[in-house]
Order: sequence, then C-alpha cells, then structure tokens
Amino acid sequence: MKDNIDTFIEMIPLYLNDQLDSDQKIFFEGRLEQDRQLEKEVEEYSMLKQSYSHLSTTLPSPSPDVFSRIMENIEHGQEKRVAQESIFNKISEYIKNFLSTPKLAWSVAAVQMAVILFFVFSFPGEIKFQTLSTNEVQLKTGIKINIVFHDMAVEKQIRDLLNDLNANIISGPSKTGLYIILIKDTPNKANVLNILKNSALVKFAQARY
Amino acid sequence: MDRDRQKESQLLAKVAKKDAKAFEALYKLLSQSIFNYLFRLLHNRESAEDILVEVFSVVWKSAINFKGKSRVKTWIFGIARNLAFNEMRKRQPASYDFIDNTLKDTESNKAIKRFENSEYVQKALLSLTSKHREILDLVFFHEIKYAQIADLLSIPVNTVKTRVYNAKAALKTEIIKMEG
Repeated sequence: MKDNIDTFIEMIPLYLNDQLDSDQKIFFEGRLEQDRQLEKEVEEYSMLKQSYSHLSTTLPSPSPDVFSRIMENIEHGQEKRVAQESIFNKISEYIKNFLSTPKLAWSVAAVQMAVILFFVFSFPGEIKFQTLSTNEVQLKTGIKINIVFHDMAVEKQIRDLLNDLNANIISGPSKTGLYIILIKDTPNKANVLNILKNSALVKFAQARY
Repeated sequence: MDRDRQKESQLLAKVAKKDAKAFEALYKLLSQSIFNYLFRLLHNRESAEDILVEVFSVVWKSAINFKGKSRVKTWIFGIARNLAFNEMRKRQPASYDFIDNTLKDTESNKAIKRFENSEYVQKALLSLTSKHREILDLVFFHEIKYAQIADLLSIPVNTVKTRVYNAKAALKTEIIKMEG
C-alpha cells in the first residue's frame, strides 16, 4: 500500500463510511495517530458527513400516491402494448387466413385475366413504325418505293422533294443507304417513279412489292 | 450492507418475473433513497416525484435486462440519473437558477437552522456546482462505494477520488467565504 498523504486523504470517505477492510483500517488508523494533517482532514470530512446525516431528516418523502402512479403507468404501458400486439395479431391472422384460402388463387387468376383482356382489347387498330427520319408514320394504302439518294444530296433538298410528292420515309437508311418511302393517295405510280428517277438527288428508285 | 445488497438482488429477480409484491417491496426499500437523490439534483419535489414514477416504471420493464454487473441500487441510481439529466436539459437555464435560489432562501435555510454544526456546510453545498454536489451526495449521503460511483457516472475510479477531493476543497472555500 502506498503511504503518501494523498492516498490516505482518498481513503477518508471510505473510512468514515466504514467501507475499508480490516487491514486497510489498521493501516489508515496507524497513520492517523501520527499525522496531524490527516487528522485535520478527517475532522473536516467528518463534519461534512455529519451535516449529511442531519440532511436525511430534513428532506421530504415522496407522496404516498407515487406508487399508485407507477402502477398506473405500468398498466397503461401494458394496455398500449397489448393493443399494439392485438392489431399486429389481427393483421397477421388475416394474412395467414388469406394465404390459406382459395381467395388468393382466385384473386391471382382474376388479375391474370384482367391483364390478358387489357392486352387483347387495347391493341392498336393501325400498325405504327418508328424510323430514324420520321415519327409515327402510319401504314396506309399507297405506293411504297425503295430509294437511294446520291451522297452529295443534302437533307433539305431531299425533304423538299419528298414534300412535293407528298411522300414520307417509313424506313431506312439501311447499311447500303436504302430508304423506303410511302406516297399516299397517288393517282399515277409511273409518273411519280419518273420524277424520282429524273431527280438529280436520286441514285436509285424502284417500286417496292 | 451485504444483506441489503442481497435483498435488492432477490427482489429484482422476482420483479423480472413480474412479481408485483416484490416490486412494491423493492419500491419501499429504495424509493426514499432514489427520491432524495432526485430531489437534490432537481431541487423540486414535483419533478423529483415525476422522475421517480418514470424510474420505477423503467425498473419494472427492464428488470429482466439487469445483468448483475453492479449493485441493484446503483443500477437504479443510473436510471434515475439519466432521466433527471434529461429533465434538467429540457429546462430553461433561467428557471433552473430560479428554482435553485428559491431553495436556498426557503426550504434549505429552514432545515439548516435546526442544526448548528451543519448550517455552513449545507449552505456551502448549495453554492457548489451540481457535479461537485452530486459526488459528495453519493459518497456521504448515499454512502455508495467508489467503484459503484465510477460505474454510475461512467468515469474511472481515480476520477471519482479526484472529484471528491476537489469537491471537498471547493466546499471549504465556500465555507471560508461565508464566514469571512
């Protein structure tokens, strides 16, 4: 055991509270008999402890109703927990029942039927195509022509030519530069083909069958 | 002391099994001590009682989680301390000071005047910081061992020793100031 004064001062509260074991107590009291400073410290701590012993008689006691408040608090907490558990139990019971009855199978079948019906009846009346040069070109009656434009032909000139003929690109270009154009409601197929073939922009034009 | 400790442990073990009689017995055994601790921290009877209700509600609910690493009383002091400090944090500093001063002028003065030797000591205690007052309360009023205080305050035992020493030194300074 260390025998410097700080060690003994630290032991004072334990000594006064009778918390030292017998060896420590003998060791402490041996020092106390011969150390005036330690004796003075013990006196001061002792007064402090004495003031606390008086304090216990001056402090109020908790009201008699505190225990019943605790019990109410506990019961309220239990009721709340029971209510929560009851809701949970009801939900899990419902799910369990639902899964174990034919209701689920019939529901799945009904959903599948609804999906099938939706696809059957919501099919578009007209086939739509998406191309690089036109959006939503509708396939209607008219002439379809395979066409290849010259490399030097600029886009604006091609657009102008197609507009003059009331034609739309419905597919293309392919790797070889082939487009398919659709000319709606044209009275003279041969005439249209001649115009295209004679155009300086067109390298190749032929009716598509 | 050991008998108290054993009794507390036995009662708490029964409380863990939801024995209401054991719970009432545990309340009777420790409520005054816990209430005193709360009252000295909060300086307000109503708040101390409210926290006491919460403390024992937690004890009932959490008794099953008690691992027995510390004394039951220390464990309950820990619950009380946490709840009291939460309450103190919620309070406005102004109102806290007001309550503190009110106590100095009324209840404590009346009580202290009855004890000649304790008058200066108790007045001086009220001038200490709550940290210093708490450590002196735990050591001299509740007579809790250093190791258990260290556990309760989550500080090393050596810090407990130093804090006791510093609190007592601060108390001495206050007493000298009052006498001067």
